[in-house]
Amino acid sequence: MNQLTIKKMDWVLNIVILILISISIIFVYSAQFQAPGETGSIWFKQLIYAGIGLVLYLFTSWINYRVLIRWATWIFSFSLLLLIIVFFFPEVNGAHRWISISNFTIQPSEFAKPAVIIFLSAYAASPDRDLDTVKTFLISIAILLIPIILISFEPDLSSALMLLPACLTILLYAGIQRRLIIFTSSLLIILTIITCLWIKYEKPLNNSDYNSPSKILPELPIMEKYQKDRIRVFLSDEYANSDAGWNKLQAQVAVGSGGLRGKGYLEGTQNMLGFLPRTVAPTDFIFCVIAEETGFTGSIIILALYSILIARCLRCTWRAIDEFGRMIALGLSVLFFSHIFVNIAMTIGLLPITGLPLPLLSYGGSFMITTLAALGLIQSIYQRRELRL
Amino acid sequence: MKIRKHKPSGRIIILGIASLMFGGFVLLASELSELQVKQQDGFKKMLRNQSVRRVRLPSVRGKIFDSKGRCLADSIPNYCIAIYTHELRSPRSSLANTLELIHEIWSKIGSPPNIDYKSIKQHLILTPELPLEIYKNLTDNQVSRWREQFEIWTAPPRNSFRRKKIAGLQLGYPLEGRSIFIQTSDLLSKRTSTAANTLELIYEISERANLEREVSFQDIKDHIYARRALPLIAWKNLNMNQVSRWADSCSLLSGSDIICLPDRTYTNGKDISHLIGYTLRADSNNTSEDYGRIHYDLRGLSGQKGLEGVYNEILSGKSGYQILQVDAAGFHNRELEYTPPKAGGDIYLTIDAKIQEICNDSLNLKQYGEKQNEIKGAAVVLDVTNGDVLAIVSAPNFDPNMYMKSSKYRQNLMIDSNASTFNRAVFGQYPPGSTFKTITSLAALSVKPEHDKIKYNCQLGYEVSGRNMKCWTFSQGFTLGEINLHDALMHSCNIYMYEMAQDIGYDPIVNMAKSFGLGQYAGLFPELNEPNKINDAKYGNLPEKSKNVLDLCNMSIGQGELLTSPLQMAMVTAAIANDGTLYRPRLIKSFRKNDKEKYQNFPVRIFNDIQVSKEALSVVQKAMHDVIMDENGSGYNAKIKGVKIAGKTGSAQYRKKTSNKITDHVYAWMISYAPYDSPKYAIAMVVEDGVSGGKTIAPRLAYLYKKLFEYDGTINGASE
Repeated sequence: MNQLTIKKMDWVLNIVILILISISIIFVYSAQFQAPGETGSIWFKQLIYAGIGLVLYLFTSWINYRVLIRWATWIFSFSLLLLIIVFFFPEVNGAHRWISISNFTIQPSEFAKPAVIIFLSAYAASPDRDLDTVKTFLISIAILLIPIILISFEPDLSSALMLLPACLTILLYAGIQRRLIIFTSSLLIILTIITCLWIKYEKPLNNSDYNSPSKILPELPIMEKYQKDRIRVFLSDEYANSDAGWNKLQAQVAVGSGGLRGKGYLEGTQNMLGFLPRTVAPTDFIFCVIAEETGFTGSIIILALYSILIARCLRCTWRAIDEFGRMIALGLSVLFFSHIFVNIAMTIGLLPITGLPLPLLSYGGSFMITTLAALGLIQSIYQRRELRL
Repeated sequence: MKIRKHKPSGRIIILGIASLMFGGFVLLASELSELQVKQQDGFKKMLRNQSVRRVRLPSVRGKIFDSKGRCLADSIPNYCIAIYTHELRSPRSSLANTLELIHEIWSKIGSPPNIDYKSIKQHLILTPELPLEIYKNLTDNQVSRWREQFEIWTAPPRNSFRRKKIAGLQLGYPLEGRSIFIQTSDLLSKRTSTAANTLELIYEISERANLEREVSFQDIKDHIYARRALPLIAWKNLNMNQVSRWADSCSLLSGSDIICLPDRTYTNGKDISHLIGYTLRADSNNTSEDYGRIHYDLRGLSGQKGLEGVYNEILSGKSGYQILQVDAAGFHNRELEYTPPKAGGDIYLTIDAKIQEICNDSLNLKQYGEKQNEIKGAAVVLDVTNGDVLAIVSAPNFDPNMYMKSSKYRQNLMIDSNASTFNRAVFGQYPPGSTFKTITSLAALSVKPEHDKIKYNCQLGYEVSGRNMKCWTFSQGFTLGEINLHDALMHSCNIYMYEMAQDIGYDPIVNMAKSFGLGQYAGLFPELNEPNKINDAKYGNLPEKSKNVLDLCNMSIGQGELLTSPLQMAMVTAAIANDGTLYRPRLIKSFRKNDKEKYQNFPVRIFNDIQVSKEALSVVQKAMHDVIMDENGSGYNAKIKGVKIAGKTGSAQYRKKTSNKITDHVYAWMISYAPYDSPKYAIAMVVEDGVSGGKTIAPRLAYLYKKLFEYDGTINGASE
């Protein structure tokens, strides 16, 4: 039954979302303050995206999430279609990530993430699913792998990898071959570590700058050069002053120099003087802008808001009325968390630099709208929770 | 169909995931506190290092005045047009691209293109889609050069076989016939570089204000590469005409402005060039405490020679500082801090510019029989009563204004065999010749006062230890016969001096010379803070011991190893004139260390109270009077109407070895003071390669005294 009951809504979640959106608009303004013109006033665009997103948020809160069981196949197929269509659009910055229709650009990978979670939940939560067979396991893995492969071929490896923890959590929760899943995850982690170490010691073919006696391994043919550079920069300090290390260094300087209290709104020198690259400051590096201008105080407030957001999502998971709702809420919580964690961790040097946005804060239409729609879904699940009498 | 099993462990998994997430947030929070609280200072320092630039600004140099307040060294504004490159970063026009390409081709071919700015502009407005011919009728040499350079320019980069495309040039057709065309249509959409925009602005200013371009494209590129936080100085040394033309036509153009840099000018520059010295652009001073903290040093002027060099510290003032914030590209963003430079202190000299000028004129007055084009010599005028230096002249001189402006002029001076920049008056080393006889006489009279009455015979065939000694009169074909000391000094007889010196011995002469300050540091450039501290270096040469009697005889007539400077001889003269008080030369009348302070007077300092009797001095003074005032005196030519003058001539002979022959030369000397009854001025003058003191110097002295006494009002020039 589609309905929106004001009393039953999670108002803490609503308020946290509104606060985060306001912060986003304020700091997107700050991040583009010195470089207006080329992109227009993007804070205003962000305001519009947030408006659209909030309308969608109310809509998804209103609909009964259980209808998604019927729509799940269509949603999944549509997002796969978009992921294929994107390859027919021209490259931007060397990647097929955007579908541009007149003035609008859509990033299909952002829509694909919740779509996969919904479809996988619908598949796993189906009452006639036999969870113990290998067939179920293989089909689940296939559902997971098809979009991951498509996205990583764009290439947008980090976005693709974001699906892994969310989907594996769903499978783990559902109880599909738990041992196999834990085994696969461990294998993946070990493989990742080996790949990273390999890249550290691999001998680049045609770049004499990076030659040194310790680089002896032959080149791996699996990743783009810039991706390898990011891993190299992350693993060793020797690239800290090279082009690849620039973003990492400047992000750290921005966050670190913010100090306890920050430099004040619109006073962040790293941001204002363009040391934080202007193209990514409002998107992937928005946390640096906030941390620089508001200091440790501000970053802790942001972390606290995100903790509340995730906690509310998990609370919704806990109290969801059925398995399908619980799986969606769990998957989305993990998806949000991994975005938040990876983004903040990369700005402070805990993880390699990747192109992941920060939910609700980063500038970007597709991601803002999907995030809000997904949060609306959580609100919809929450409204139909088990009421404790 | 299998009945779906309930998995009770699902809730545990949710809890597990939740605690993992909580752990993740705690990890982020602790890392943030590490970064933002514990390590914040390190990051703040890094931030400062990458975004802050310290600039040292030049200060305005202090002035140097003469005793009457005429400015000898002045600081004047040097008007420059500065281009602020940070305002020229946004894409501008195809014109900038076209100019950049033309300059690139120009640098490859090496000769300017056959097209001017106006026609380029016209072409871009009217027919940008057509190719533009920038070179016509190239010579064979230029053609081959261009082909070669074009090949190098478009050579494929490493790991590629495709030649580089250069916007505006067609790869296949670097040349059409003997012309070079550029495709201006290619350049319309190209983003312009900052250097190209700067070039365009410079062309625009050049056209509007009608100024010849001074900086090359390479200069612009170098500036943007190395000093982009600072404005580029595109034109220097503008006159008021040019400045007003700029203001009329270009003040609305963004990115350029008129700025003032301090500069130096010397009025009466040539007259006093050796004493004042000159300034040059300062070297970056790496020894100061700022070393390593200064990113850009806008170098001011630093004194190099003379007073500018010696008192550089007082004159130069304190540099100012500007702390600039730069953006990620290194361009100027805003000014964070500004410490204005402090102007330097000023100095009043005892020099009188008018006397200096007279002195210079008289020294350069060409006398009969002087062959050389340039007179080499020096003159010093001291105030007898207190040792003030009224004029200090060295010839040949140079123009310090030219010296600072033109490096060619500097180079010519460096290879100049006349050593024009050498201050002969202070640092010149000359045997004093017969002028030293005054000291010999005073020494003899102190030891043996009756020498006054003793007569010796000036005769041919006089021998000292087997060597034939001569008097200058022999070459004129006469001898003086039996003469007393007075006549010996008046006629400058050598034989008399030999006899007298052998009578009294070597030591009294050396002691007397020493008490007159010879062989010692004169103290012309003292430390202003400690007037009594004299740098204890030896100055000139006063041989302490004689090897034999020949040395003694040579010494007695001021020849041999004895060397003095004109300044020292002027001091000697002043001491004789004022009855035995030897003053240190006082050059600085008053000074202040910065423009806020009051002037401090520099004290008159006494070098030595010479132990010599009044009677002895009066014998020498009387003889010096007759040298000039008696018509038989050797310096009779120096006599002028209306004032009694005393003096002593000297002609020190020396031999010069040139490539194939040995030639005899004479340093013509005169020391003199006037008026005889109440001495005011003491003068020493020397001219290299003169004939004799009486013939070379005396007429110059006459001119000098005449002008000098006219100037101070003792005699009336009009009545003569």
